Amino acid sequence: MTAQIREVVDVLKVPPSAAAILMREHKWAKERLFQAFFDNPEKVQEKCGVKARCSCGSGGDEKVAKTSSKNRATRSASKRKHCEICMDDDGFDPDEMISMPCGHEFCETCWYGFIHNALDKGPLCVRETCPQAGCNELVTEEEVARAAPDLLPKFETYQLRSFVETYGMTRWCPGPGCEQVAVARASGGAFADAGGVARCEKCSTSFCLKCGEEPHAPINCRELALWQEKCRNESETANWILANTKPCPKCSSRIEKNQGCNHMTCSSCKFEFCWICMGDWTQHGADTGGYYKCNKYDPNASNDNDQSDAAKAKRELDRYLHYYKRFHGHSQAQEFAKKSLKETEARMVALQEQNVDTVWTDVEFLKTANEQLVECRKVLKYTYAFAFYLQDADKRSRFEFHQEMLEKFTESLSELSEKPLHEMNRTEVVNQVSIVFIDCVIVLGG
Amino acid sequence: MSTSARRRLLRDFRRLQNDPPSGVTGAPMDTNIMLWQAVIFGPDDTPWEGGTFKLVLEFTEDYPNKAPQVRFLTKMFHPNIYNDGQICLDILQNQWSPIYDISAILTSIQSLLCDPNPASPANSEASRLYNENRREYNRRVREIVEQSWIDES
Repeated sequence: MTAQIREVVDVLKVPPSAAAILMREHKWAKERLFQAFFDNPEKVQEKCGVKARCSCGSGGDEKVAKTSSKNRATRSASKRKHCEICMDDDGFDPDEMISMPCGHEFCETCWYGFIHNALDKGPLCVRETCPQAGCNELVTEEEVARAAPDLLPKFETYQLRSFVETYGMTRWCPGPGCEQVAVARASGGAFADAGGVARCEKCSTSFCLKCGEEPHAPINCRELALWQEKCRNESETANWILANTKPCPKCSSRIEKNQGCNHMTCSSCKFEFCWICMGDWTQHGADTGGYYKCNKYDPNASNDNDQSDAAKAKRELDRYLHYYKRFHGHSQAQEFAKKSLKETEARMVALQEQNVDTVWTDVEFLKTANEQLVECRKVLKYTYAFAFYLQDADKRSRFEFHQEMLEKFTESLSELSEKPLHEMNRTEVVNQVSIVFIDCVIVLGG
Repeated sequence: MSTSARRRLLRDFRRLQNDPPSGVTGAPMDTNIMLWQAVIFGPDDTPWEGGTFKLVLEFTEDYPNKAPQVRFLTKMFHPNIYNDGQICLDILQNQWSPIYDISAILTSIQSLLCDPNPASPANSEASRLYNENRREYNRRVREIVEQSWIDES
């Protein structure tokens, strides 16, 4: 930030405090600022509220010196100054007054109150204008430093925040309480459309550099925003259908899903079913041919011939709900897998203690498996948002094939890693991890 | 208790008495200098002529760095005044400056009466009539003026 301001100071011959504002108002696009500035410097200065500050530029120091010596000379004549904020009848000594470059001056006490109050408004304080009504000259760190030195650090924090937020190449780490700043290395303007993923060194939160959300491949930022907006709008309807419990398809007992896998067994009637489609689990088995048929939305299931508006709306809602249910299902499973990361560590310790010969690296596969599971759930979640917007039928069927593979192997990995320790087979888990890893890569590549 | 807000309000009061602006009056409530009652008289030669409109102004310790809450007690019919008496006026919101005092606030509100800002309607009916049917608008305003005398008693 400092380097950028330096350059503007040199090129435009304006004070540093004004340079920072000029850059901020032009979203730190230097070239754009220079162009606008050389076209019409006055207009740019006026618009950004730094006109007076810039016009006392080079000769400014001299002028200030002159007036202050004049002030000193006239003080003996006790010319008291009037502060328009407190309207104190006694007036003030000239050296008790602090003035803005625009010439409006106020007493030190009122200035302090003004700045204190401005900082209470939060991030907007960097846009605070001169206390004089109708004057649009901006208050900068120069005034804060003179009137309220103790509040300067807070003001500068807000300046930095505004820089990070308006400058297209930086982004705050979205990790809770984390204050790291990510800077894009690419020199070519904004972040690449491919969606750069950053990982914070401090709190190891991963995020998309472009939109700041959790990494969301294969869907792009724009479609993700659309999807999230849609989910918010439809949430009333969706919630109705997606209460956190579902009735057992056989005995109608309410069932809460508290494990990550979609293979459910009703605790009262022992019926085994798939949590996603509520169908009999035996129809999902690999040995019956069609392993996992519930990731495809079949528009033929509803009556396609009915062209009335109501029917169209219903079909569109069904289509959305189909994808949303699965998106939501994987989202919850991802949260669950994240939670179980902690338990996994406990299991690793237990496994190690069972056998004195085992070393940490021997049980590390458990953690790897769990981390991979979180990753798979995340990718699967976004594949459903992606597929919702995928118009091309050919592409969609190819995509859904890979999605189905990934889903199938993710489910079996989930099941494997939830087994009691004594049934756990290390080789099987490790193999499954590498299979789903490859599937992830394929889905993201396709 | 003397704080900068209270000191400033006392000065505002003195200025209001020594140099009263035309058509507005105001004074703090007996027990609380942070709470003021004011009256704005409808400007002559306008439909508002003769009206006496009561307001309350509520100040905080942040005054004059923060604007007071201002609300009409009298029922109003005006494009920028809500049904509950709240006023939509830029200098009471984002254009507030600490150099404003009570007489500046009251005179601004007074001039808002005959010079509404149709861009930010707070009362859609008043706004519509003001733009489309000025006769009917003026008639409704005069109703409000007469109403304000009844409220008085």
